[in-house]
Amino acid sequence: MEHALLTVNRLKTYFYTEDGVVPAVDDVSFAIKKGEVVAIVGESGSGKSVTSLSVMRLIENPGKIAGGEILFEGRNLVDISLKKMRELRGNQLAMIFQEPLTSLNPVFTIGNQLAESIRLHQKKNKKEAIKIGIEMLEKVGIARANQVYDQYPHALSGGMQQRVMIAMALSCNPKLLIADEPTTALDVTIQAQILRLMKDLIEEFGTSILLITHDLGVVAEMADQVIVMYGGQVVEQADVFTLFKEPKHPYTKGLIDSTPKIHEWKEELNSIPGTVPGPFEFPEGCKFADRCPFVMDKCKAESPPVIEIGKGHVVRCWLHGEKGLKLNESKSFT
Amino acid sequence: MSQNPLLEVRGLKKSFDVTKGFLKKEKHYLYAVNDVSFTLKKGEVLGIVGESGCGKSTLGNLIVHLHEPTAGEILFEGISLLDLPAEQLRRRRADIQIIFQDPFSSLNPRKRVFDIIAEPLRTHLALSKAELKQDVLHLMELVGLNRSYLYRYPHEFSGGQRQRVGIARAIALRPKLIICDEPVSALDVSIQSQILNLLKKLQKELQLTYLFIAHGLPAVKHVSDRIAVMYLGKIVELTTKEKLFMNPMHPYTEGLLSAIPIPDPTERKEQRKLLEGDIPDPVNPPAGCKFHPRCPYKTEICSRIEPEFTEKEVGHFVACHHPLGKENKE
Ligand SMILES: Nc1ncnc2c1ncn2[C@@H]1O[C@H](COP(=O)(O)OP(=O)(O)OP(=O)(O)O)[C@@H](O)[C@H]1O
Ligand SMILES: Nc1ncnc2c1ncn2[C@@H]1O[C@H](COP(=O)(O)OP(=O)(O)OP(=O)(O)O)[C@@H](O)[C@H]1O
Ligand code: SF4
Ligand SMILES: [Mg+2]
Ligand SMILES: [Mg+2]
Repeated sequence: MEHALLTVNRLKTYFYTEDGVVPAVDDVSFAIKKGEVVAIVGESGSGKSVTSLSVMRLIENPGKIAGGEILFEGRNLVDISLKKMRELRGNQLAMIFQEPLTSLNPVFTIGNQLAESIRLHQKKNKKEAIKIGIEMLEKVGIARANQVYDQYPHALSGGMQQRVMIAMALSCNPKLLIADEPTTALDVTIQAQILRLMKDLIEEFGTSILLITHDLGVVAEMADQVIVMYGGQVVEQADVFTLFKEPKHPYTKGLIDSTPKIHEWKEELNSIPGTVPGPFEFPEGCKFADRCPFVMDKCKAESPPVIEIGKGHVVRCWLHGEKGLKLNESKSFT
Repeated sequence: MSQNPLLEVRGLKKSFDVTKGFLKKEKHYLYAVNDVSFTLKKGEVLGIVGESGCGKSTLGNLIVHLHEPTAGEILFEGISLLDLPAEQLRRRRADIQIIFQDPFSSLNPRKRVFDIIAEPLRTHLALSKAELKQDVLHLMELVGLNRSYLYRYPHEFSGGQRQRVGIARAIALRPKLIICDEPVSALDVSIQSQILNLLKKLQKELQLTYLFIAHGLPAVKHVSDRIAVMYLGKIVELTTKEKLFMNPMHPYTEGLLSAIPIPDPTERKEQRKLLEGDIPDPVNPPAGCKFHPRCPYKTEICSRIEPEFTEKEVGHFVACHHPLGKENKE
């Protein structure tokens, strides 16, 4: 079997707040191979960002990695020194966020920040760094790269800022790029451009991507593997084709059903009943029990184990416990 | 059309003075809404879509009179809202309500659900205490809020529940027209469809008329009868939702449709046509057709002459020199 670039093993990241412990990431495992796009999808508060910040070791107080391991090329990131981690960030590991402005410094020009990053990580001299910087801007599809190089971040549109962020992240030629909702703040025509850009870059550089999104359309468009999270747990994981064709977890099925389809006309849209509970409001047993149309007594009493029901297809749900009931039979969402 | 429209908007314009921030002495204006006309029948839902900054909220705010128009007319039941005396205008305002995008900031955090929903009833009707409570409870039931929430505060609710509170308040006075300004875009996917279903159900049951604003076509598709697509302050296409999805005539509409990611990996369109470029600076919009810098079908005339908004087929309005027909679509 091909060796994974990143292996996350039973990761637990908890927040120790005044109101109690929030298990934001609770026993999460997955792997990313070279050149692969792994998407994490789930609703607000499901633990997507905390998972990615854990990989970058960017969890701040009162949060803590409380268990598990994060193996990057065989090294466990959970217990290497912060100094070593800082070296990896920006070199081997890079991250882009939903709001590009939060990570660009408003008082320096684009070029300044880009060249700085290139000099730091690629040990180039000033002149070389400028040249590479402008090339990177061209690579991410910025017209008039020469001029944009000397502009300040606020003078650019959201789409251009996100392109600059991608250029910065790629300027150090990382092996893994973590993109946390990179297109959520963008308009749909600009989103389509950025997604295409990311695809082209995967082809050109062979970068692996951990893509975080709440949009199943983006997942279907981009991902090789998909991880579905709910309440800090992985509830289902499969390759993208299997996941959309044969979702096994009621939550996955509910999410797919409630995503609007452009060529579907119906009187009533599918939805999942209820709302995502607050961090201290999840039910005992299965965390999805209070919204699940298939709920059984067992679900309310006991947390379901993770089982593998097909090659690389993993689900956390009692329906697939001993009996292995089929989801498409019997009830469905309304 | 025999029936008189409930709302008619004619040549509506709103410009903002944005001279600040420019060094020159000369004035700079941003035309947020630039010559918009349409009609809305009673009981109809008109969707308004377009990307960030195209003027959707400004249009909605003009109709509820949060902005003063620069030019044009707004006729409600045939009467111009702009020259009504104050008292009549106040009564008219009860007929037009608005629901905002952000359920977190649009509700007063210091008020209980009861007071939030009761506020318009108190302002406009003289009800006894018991009647008021009964009305509020009935409204809560209509929007699917548990009556045990009556004395809770907004921060105790999820986004979807807060949006239900906002909807209950908006329908309290049985308005004739509701402007829905992106009512679901701040919500989780599984909650969006709940709220869309609720809005549609209420619209049918209470025979409401909506102007339904959204960023993207998927969100307006379900509730709308007709859809208007806006770009840089103008409506570029307006027709029934079926025609818009099956037979878009404006190149921008076609671009919007093809940019929507399809939630099915077997339908990945590796080679799909994407719109190039960015939305231009609204203070210095391009000459001619405002879409021409991004348009794959533009010709020489497009950069010189602004296309008129005309009825190209029955009930299908387009502003384009080269509207897409069956022949020139790929
Ligand atoms: N600094 C913090 N202190 C306490 N709890 C936190 C903190 N940061 C995150 N959490 C909790 O961790 C959980 C997961 O949050 P996370 O940001 O990972 O969600 P997400 O899936 O990225 O959601 P979104 O789609 O809204 O970005 C939430 O319940 C959140 O309240
Ligand atoms: N008070 C104001 N002063 C100056 N410019 C304004 C003002 N209000 C809106 N604008 C500008 O008018 C244009 C239209 O804004 P509007 O809020 O109507 O867009 P929108 O279509 O609702 O966008 P969004 O999808 O982001 O909500 C934008 O360019 C905006 O910057
Ligand atoms: S008028 Fe010309 S530029 Fe404008 S949309 Fe039509 S073809 Fe494109
Ligand atoms: Mg997040
Ligand atoms: Mg708006």
